[in-house]
Amino acid sequence: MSGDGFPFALPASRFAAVNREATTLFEELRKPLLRYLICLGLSADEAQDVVQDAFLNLHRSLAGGASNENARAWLFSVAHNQARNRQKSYHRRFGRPLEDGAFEMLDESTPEHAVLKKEKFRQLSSAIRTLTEAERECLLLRAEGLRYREIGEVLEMATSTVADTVDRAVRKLAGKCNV
Amino acid sequence: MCEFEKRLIAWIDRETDAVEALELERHLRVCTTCSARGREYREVSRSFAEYCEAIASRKNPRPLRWAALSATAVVAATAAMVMLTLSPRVDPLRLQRPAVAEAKSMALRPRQVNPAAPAKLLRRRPRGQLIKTPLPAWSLEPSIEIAIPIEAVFAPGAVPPGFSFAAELSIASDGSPRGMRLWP
Repeated sequence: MSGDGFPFALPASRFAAVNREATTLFEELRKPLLRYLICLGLSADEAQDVVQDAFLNLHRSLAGGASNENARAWLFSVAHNQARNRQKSYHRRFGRPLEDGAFEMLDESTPEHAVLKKEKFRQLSSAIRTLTEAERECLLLRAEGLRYREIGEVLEMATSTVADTVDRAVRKLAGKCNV
Repeated sequence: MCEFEKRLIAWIDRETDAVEALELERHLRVCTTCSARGREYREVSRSFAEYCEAIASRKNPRPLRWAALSATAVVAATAAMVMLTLSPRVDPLRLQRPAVAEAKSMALRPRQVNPAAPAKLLRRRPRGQLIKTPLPAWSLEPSIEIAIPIEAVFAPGAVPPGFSFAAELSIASDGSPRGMRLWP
């Protein structure tokens, strides 16, 4: 999935096929990417920019002849790196991405359900703060449906390390949350 | 800790091989502790995903506005495309020398006037009166130029060959005519 040049002389049929592939991937992965970036700590506007850039790069790569076989890991990888760069440039850290007040917007059927969920989220929020950055990132990518191999590619870890990290993180959360 | 419990989370994530998965499933039928742990891990994973969704919804609470903006943009783009497609194009050569058979047809051509360059407009219409008189506000608005072959208006021979008139009609946004200029 690389290739910086834009092939201006792409045949029309190939161009249409690339557009179809990119559109399908966009529809499938736009929301998970946005959610991941926002949970990492980017603002909604920043996340939109990053996702747009990532899909632009993907389109160029596909037009350059790259296969879309590993597109999901590739897109998350590009988005993850851009998110890190932006945070460095704004002198921000990954801190507090999952903490504050998510439970204010709960739309539960009954007030009792809303209270229970609020309490559950409060416990979860507190437990998430005890996770390391790697554990948190692994869990975020896992929540978006990435396989361990794909998480490893995004975070540049061995698959076995991802398995251990996910295992440790889930146990930590389960130990601290009364689910 | 039960030896199978170490692989529970990988099994939930379907990251174990088929043989290992089968062993675990057999074990879960008889081990209530692992079974309860499995449910617990599934539940906490589901809660984490819900939590992420709640965070993303809270920080990006504008889906309807985006949808409305997108819909407006699509409608505007479609309308522009339709207008461009339906607007007949006029061949300048045919305007200069219209065929008699086409005398009854009228050609419409949208014309954009640049308000920032009135002098250029005046040069294209070199009439002394127009140069001296400031252009009225309506003349700076986009207008439609109608070209009617002279044979459609005057009897054959009434007008010298090669002679033509130009008419400029301005229409207000509510559709009413705001002014007309006619010159040879």
